[in-house]
Amino acid sequence: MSQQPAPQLPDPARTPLFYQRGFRSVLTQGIYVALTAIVLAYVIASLDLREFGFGFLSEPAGFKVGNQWLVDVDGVTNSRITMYLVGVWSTLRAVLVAILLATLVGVVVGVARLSSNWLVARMAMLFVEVFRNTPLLVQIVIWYAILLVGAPVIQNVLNVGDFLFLSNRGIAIPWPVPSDGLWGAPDWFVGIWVLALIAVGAVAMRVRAKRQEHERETGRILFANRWAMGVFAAGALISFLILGVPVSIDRPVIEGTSYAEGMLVQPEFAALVLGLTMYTGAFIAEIVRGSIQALPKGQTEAANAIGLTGYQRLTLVILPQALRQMIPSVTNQFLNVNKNSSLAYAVLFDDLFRVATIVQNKAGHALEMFFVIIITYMVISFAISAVMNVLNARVTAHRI
Amino acid sequence: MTSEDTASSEPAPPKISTEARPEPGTMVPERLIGQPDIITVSHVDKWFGDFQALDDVSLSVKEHEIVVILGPSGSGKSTFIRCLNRLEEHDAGRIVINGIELNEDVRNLNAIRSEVGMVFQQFNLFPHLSVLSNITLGLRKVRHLPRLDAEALAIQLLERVGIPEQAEKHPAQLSGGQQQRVAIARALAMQPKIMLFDEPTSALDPEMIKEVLDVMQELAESGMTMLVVTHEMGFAREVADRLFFFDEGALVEEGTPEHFFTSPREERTKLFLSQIL
Repeated sequence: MSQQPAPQLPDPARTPLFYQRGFRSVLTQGIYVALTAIVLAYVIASLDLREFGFGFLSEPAGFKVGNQWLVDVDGVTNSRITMYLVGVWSTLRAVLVAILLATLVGVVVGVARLSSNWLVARMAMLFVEVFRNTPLLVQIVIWYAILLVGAPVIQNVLNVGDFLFLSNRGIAIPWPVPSDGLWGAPDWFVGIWVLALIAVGAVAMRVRAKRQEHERETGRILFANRWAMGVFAAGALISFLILGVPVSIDRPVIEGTSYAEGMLVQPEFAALVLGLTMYTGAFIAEIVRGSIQALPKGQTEAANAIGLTGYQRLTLVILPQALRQMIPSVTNQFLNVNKNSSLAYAVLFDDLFRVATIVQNKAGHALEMFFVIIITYMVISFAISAVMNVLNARVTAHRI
Repeated sequence: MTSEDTASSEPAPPKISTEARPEPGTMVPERLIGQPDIITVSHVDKWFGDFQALDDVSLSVKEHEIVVILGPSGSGKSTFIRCLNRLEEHDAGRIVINGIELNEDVRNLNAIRSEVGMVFQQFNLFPHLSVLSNITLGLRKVRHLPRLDAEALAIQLLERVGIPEQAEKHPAQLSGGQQQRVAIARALAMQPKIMLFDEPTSALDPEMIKEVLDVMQELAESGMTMLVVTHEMGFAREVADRLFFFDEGALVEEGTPEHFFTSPREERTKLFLSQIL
C-alpha cells in the first residue's frame, strides 16, 4: 500500500491564555467559590454561635406526646432526645403505612382509569382529579374533621361485626398480642418467635436456591417455590408450638366510654395517613396509567392472541412491565410522602416535626433543632431511595 | 325529467366487476378439492370512524390451504386478518371459523383464540419473560398444562424452529429473525388449526428473512392452514395455493400464483404487481 505524503500545514497559532478553555473553566469556578465563601462568612459572622450545642437535648423533657405505639414515655423522666425519637418513630409509622396504602390505591385506581367499563373509568378519573387538585393540608384537616366530628360518639359506636369499631375516639381493630399460650410463655417469647421466623425464612430461601440450582443441572422439576413455602410454613408452625403459642389475636371491646384491648388507631394518625394515602395514591394512579399506556399496543394484542383472559393479561403481561418502568417516578412520590408527613402538625399528631417544635419552644436552640429536623428527614429520604434503588436494580437486571 | 334521463346523463362510475370474479372457492387448487371450508367470510365491512377499512369482503378458505394476501399499504389486508381472531371487530357481515361464529359471545371469542394463532410484524414477544416462558405462558395459564409438560413442548417447538439453545435467554438478547421464530413457536404452542401471519418478515434485516420463511414453509408442508400477509413474492409464488389481492378495503382479485404472475385480470392488480416485481 502506497503511503500518502503528509499534507503540509502552517505552524499552529498559540491561543492566548484568556481564550483557552481550561483557563476559562478554572476562572469561572474560582469566581463561584470566592462568592460562596463571602456569603457563608457573612452568615456565620451574623449568627450568635456562643450558645451553639446539643447539650439541651439530654435534659428532662417536661411534656407529653400522644399516639405512642410500642413505646411508653411520660415525658417526666425521659430526656428531650428520647421524646424526639418517639416523634421520629411516629413519623416512620405514618410514612410506612401511607406508602404501602398509597401504592395499593394507586395501582388499583390507575388500572381502573383504563377500564373499558365507562362507570369504573369515570369514577377513577373523578378520584384522581379530586385528590390531585386540592391541597394536601386541606385534605388532612377535612379527614380529621370527619373522624372527630363526623364519627359517632363512643356511646353510639359503629360496630362492624364485633371486629372493627369506629367512633370519634378513633378506629379500633383486632391486633396480635403476646399471650400466655399453652404453658405461660413470657412476653419476650414473641421476640424469639420473630427471630425463629427470620431464621426459618433464611433456611427456606436456601432450600429454594439449592433446588433451583439442582433443577438447572439435572433438568428435573423440583418444585423449588413449593418446597420453600412448605419449609417456611412447617418451621413457623413448629416454632410457634414449641414456644407454647405465644401470640393471640386480641379483639377490641368497649368498656364504658373507652376502648379496651385490640389496637386503637387514633383520629390524628388516621387523618394523616388517609390524607397522605389518597393524595399520593392519586399521583401514583397517574404514573401507573402512564406506564401502562406507554407499553406497545402489541403486548396487549399478543396476550389476547394466545387467549389470556383480561385479568391474566393485566397481571402476567402488562403490570410486570409497567411496574418496572414506574419505579423511578414512584420513588419520587414516596419521598414526597416522607416530606409531606410534616403536615401532621395541623392535626396535632406528634410526629418528629411537632415534637421538635415543642422542644424548641421549651429550650430555645432553634438553629440546632432545625438542623436535627433536616438531617432526620434527609436520612429517612435516603433510606427510601436506597431501598427503591435496590428494587430498581433487581427488576432491571434484564433489559426489557 | 324522468328517471331514465337521470340514469343516462350520469354514467355509473367504473366499478370492479364483481360478476366477472369467480365465486369464492372456484379457484381451489387440485390438492385441496374435497377439503371442507375452515374460514367463511361473508359481506364483511369494517369502519375506523369515517374511514372504511373493509368493504364487503367475502371469501372462503379450505382446510390446509396456504393463502397469501397482497395489497398496497392501507388496503385493509392487515385489518382483514386481524378480524379473523377478533383483534378487530367487524361492523357488518359474518365470519365463521371452523364452525364458530365471530360475534359478541365471549365463549366464541375464547374458542376462536385457541383455534387461531397469530404472528405479528413486530414479534410482540413479552420482554420481561425468557424465551421458554414466552412459549409456556399460554400453555400453563390457558391450557393449564403442568410446567414439566409445557416446557417439554416448548423445547420441542424451539427445536422445530431451529433455536433450542436460546430457551433461557430474554427476547432482547436475540436477533430479529430469532425473535420472530420464537413468536411462531409461541403461537404454535397453543396448537392452533389456523395460523395468521401479519407481515412476518417486514421488520427483519434481509439476511434474517430467509430463516423465518424457511420455518413458514416447513409449517405449510406440515398441513397447517395459513393466511399470510406479505410482500415476499418468492414465498407467494412457491408456497401459496391461492392469492388474494386487496385494494381500498375490497377484495379485488383472487387466484392461483400462476394466474396472478402470468395473467392478472384487474388493472389495479397489474399496476400493483408491476410496482412490486
